[in-house]
Amino acid sequence: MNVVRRGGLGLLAWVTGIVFFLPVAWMALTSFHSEQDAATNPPSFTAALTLDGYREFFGTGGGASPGPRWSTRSWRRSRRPCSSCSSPSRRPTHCRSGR
Amino acid sequence: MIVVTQLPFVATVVISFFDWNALYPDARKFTGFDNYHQVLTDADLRHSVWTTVLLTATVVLVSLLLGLALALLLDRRFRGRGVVRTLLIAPFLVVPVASALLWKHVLYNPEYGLFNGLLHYVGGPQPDWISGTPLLAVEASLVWQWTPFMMLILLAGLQSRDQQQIEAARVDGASDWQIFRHLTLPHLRRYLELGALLGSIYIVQNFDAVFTITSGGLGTANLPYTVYQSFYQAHENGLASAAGVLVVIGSIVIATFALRVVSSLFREEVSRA
Repeated sequence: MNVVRRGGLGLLAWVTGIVFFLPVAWMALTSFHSEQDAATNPPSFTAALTLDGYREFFGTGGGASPGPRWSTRSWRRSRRPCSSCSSPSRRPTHCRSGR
Repeated sequence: MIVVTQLPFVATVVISFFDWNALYPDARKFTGFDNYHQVLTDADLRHSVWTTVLLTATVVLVSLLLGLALALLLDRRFRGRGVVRTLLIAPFLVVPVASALLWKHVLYNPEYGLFNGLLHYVGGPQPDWISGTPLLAVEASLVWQWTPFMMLILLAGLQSRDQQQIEAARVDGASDWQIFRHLTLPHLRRYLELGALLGSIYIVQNFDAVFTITSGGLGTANLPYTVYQSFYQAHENGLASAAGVLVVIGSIVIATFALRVVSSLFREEVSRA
């Protein structure tokens, strides 16, 4: 009896935890869905996943990004001044041309 | 410091005694307590005072009871307790505006919301949550956000109980209910008060949920929303200030009680040590 009751209460805690987390989980899942799949009734749980939402936010999908500017800056090129490079061998390529 | 922090408030108090509409700057004049009189007698404004009280009381009570139940569940040992605790805290970590948008569009929306989507599977009705029960819709989203907060405070209370005392009570043959009623609940009283007061302070000032979910329509406009409305839409600076001062007074009254509770908690800790 006691074992059953303890197991039942543990299960109840798990169920309420999952119910409380469900909106957050659903938000996270929807963030990987396309606009069409995100707005269906019944909900499409198994729709194809896509990073398009994140691409658009970071501005790589074309068009202006609603994100902060630093998030869309190109990270390929180093913005550090060449004089700050410590060793010549670790300099980014744009620094190596004798500058 | 006093100049920086108190000057805006003093200015608000001064403005609240003027009949001052930004659209008619020439008609500005001192009116004494007229604005306060209007806030407390105007049917719409009085309704918003009542909505604030109702919203705060409902959200605090429901989330406190849910939080107590969850804290009692989490106080027991079971498999994956840490994971469940993290899952339960998650709603409190969501940005308030994001949570309001989440509830409005992702959960409540009658066309593509999750609630109606799940109801669709079991063949249930497809209610329009927000226009059907607007105040309940706002309250549910706030309860979802504030239950974890209450749970954390009460869990801290539960884990600071004197285990020897409980052990002794059990040896003497006390039932679970008797232990809860006569040992746990008196110990938790301070923590319950603290949770209720802190929750009240935050929810009296709540603006995000009301603004986002219903835009103050359908009888859900609370005092902060009314301040916003009379300032940004009616440009009634004096009236908005008077309503704002009332919110501050309400918060100060609640905060005074909160501080008293906190200090009594500390006193208790000191006397025990």
